[in-house]
Order: sequence, then structure tokens, then C-alpha cells
Amino acid sequence: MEISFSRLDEDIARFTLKDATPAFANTFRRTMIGEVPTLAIEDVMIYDNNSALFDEILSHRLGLIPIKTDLSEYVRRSECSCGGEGCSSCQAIFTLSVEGPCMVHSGDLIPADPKATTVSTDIPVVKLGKDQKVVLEARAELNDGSEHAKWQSTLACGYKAYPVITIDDNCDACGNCVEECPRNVLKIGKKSVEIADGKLEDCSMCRLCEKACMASGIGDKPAISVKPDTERFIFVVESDGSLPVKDIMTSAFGIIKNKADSLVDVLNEISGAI
Amino acid sequence: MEIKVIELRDDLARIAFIGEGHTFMNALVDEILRDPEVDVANYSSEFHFTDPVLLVTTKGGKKPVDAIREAAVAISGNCSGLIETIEKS
Repeated sequence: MEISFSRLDEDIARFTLKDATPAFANTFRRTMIGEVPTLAIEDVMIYDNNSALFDEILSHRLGLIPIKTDLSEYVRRSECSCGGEGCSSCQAIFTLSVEGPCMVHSGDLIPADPKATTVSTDIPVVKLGKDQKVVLEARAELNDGSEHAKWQSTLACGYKAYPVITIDDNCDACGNCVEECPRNVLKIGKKSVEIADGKLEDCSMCRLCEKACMASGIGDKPAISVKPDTERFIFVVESDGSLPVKDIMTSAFGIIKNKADSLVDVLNEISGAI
Repeated sequence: MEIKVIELRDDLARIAFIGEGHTFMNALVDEILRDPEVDVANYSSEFHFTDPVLLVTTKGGKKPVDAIREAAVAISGNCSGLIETIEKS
């Protein structure tokens, strides 16, 4: 299997996964969405809240704020050496103390660990009127998206099969398919229709080109055909900012690999026992 | 990973995977089926919240546990290669 990136930024990646099966591509997608851990606020101790929002709504809104996560510094609370009581290696603590009139933003959360800050400082939490006040302590912990969407590290995360467009020799370059294509993938060449430079990956495989070709009265079979390549997949992965996309991808593969390795170990034990 | 062997014969294995879901099971079954000596490989969960049970039957004398192990080794190898590529880029 191979990966080739067409774009790799801190927050977004676009790449092609080659020589893979649809099952493996889907496992990779599901792991990135549901099993890569991030930090999110789980427990909130509210000392004072006379804002318009109930404590529960305020806590829920705080939970959804993305937090920058260093996976080498934190472990899950259930796996921590503190036994789940809560310590600096399984919890990131924030304090918030704001008095109105003003808007409380995510940037008002003051982190105890300077590395575990909120991704954005501009996310509105609650609007305070005159004499209204919010004082609280929030504890973020590591968990994954299968537990709750607030721990999901990805925003858009999906794939499509690589499009394969074949144009037969009987194409008369009438241009009907070029006009019909909603993504401008095709262009008129010298003798027949051609794929526009760098546009192939934009094809959504809607097959309007095939229909347009048939409508032009070419015969029983269209001169252009669009098929998915079942061994090549175009992925788009977007991070919410809590982890760089590269880390999301490596930890997703690491999670699948660990599962496979531990299955091998268990099966070796069983084979030895038989 | 925790597994529970429900049934094990020379050409059949029925194994429950504790706490696993479609994410890993689907890739595992797909990889097991690439082995030409494997006859049947599928998994099912009785309910959404119950553990998936993997059924593998083989032909030609191959042990089903070996087929599962080889598939797991292949998945692990694929992941290692991809991690290396990502880290280089």
C-alpha cells in the first residue's frame, strides 16, 4: 500500500491511498473519526453561574470546545497510574472567571498546562448581562469519538474511489459531455474529448457525460465511460485543530496496527495451548 | 485484545472479539478472505451492543487460526509501511 499527498497542511490533508481494499480504506476512515483520542472538557465545577444559561447547557458548550492535545503527555483516565482519581497526566485543568456585561469566549478559559490551550480563543460560550457572573473550574480528559463527538479529532473525513475515465476511438468530439460535466473535468481535444489537466480527481462519477454521449445518438454504447478504481482512494481529512492531520493519520494507523499485533499475540498463545 | 474461542475444529473457528466493532472486524475479514485456502470468513453481532463473532472455515487442511493470524500480520505490516511513508512526507 502507498500514500501520496497532493496537499498536506497542519489542518487539512488530501491524499491518494493506492493498492488498498475498500474495507481497509473504510477502517482507516472510521479509526480517524472514532478512535484517535483528543482532549475535551468532561467535568465542570461551577462555583457561580447566574447567566441566562443553565449549568448543564454551559457545561455542554464548554465540552464542545476543541483543545490542543499532546498525545505524548496525556493518557486516558481509565489507564492512568492514578487509578482514575485524576492527576496531571490524565487531566488538563482550566479556570474561568468572568463578570458581565460581556460575551464569554473560549479564550477566557485559563489553562493550568500552557500546552493544552483552546484551539481558538473566539468561540462564544455565553453572553453575560450586567451583574451576571460565571466562575468555574473545568477538567478536560482524553477519550475518543466513539464515546462522544466532542472527542472527535476530525471534521470532514472521507474518501471516494479514484475515477477512471476512458474515451473510445469512436468519440467524435461533439462536446456534449464537456458541456454537461458539472465539474469541468473534460475538454475538447483535437480528435476527441480529453481530460482537462489536473482535473481528473475532481470527477464525482455522476456519469452525466455518459448520458450526454448516449443522447447524442452515438449508438448502443457511449464513447466515454467513467468507472471507479476499487484499489485507489482519494481521501480528504480535516482536523479540528486539536491534533495536526499528520498525527491523526499516524495514530489511526498505529491503533489499527496495535490491534492486529495484539491479535497475533493472543492467537500465538492459543496455538501454544492447543 | 481479548478474544473468546467459542468453537475450534481442524477446519472451523468461531471466535468472539470482546469490545470490537465493525472498524477492525471488516478489515480483518476482508484480509482473511484474500487467502485462497479460506472457504468462509464472516462476522456478525447478534445485537448492536454485543461482541462480534468471527467465523472462519478453511479447505485443504489449513488451520483457521493460522489464516486469522496471517491476516492480522498482513494488516500490521501494511500499517507499518504507511506510518513510515507519512512520517517521511
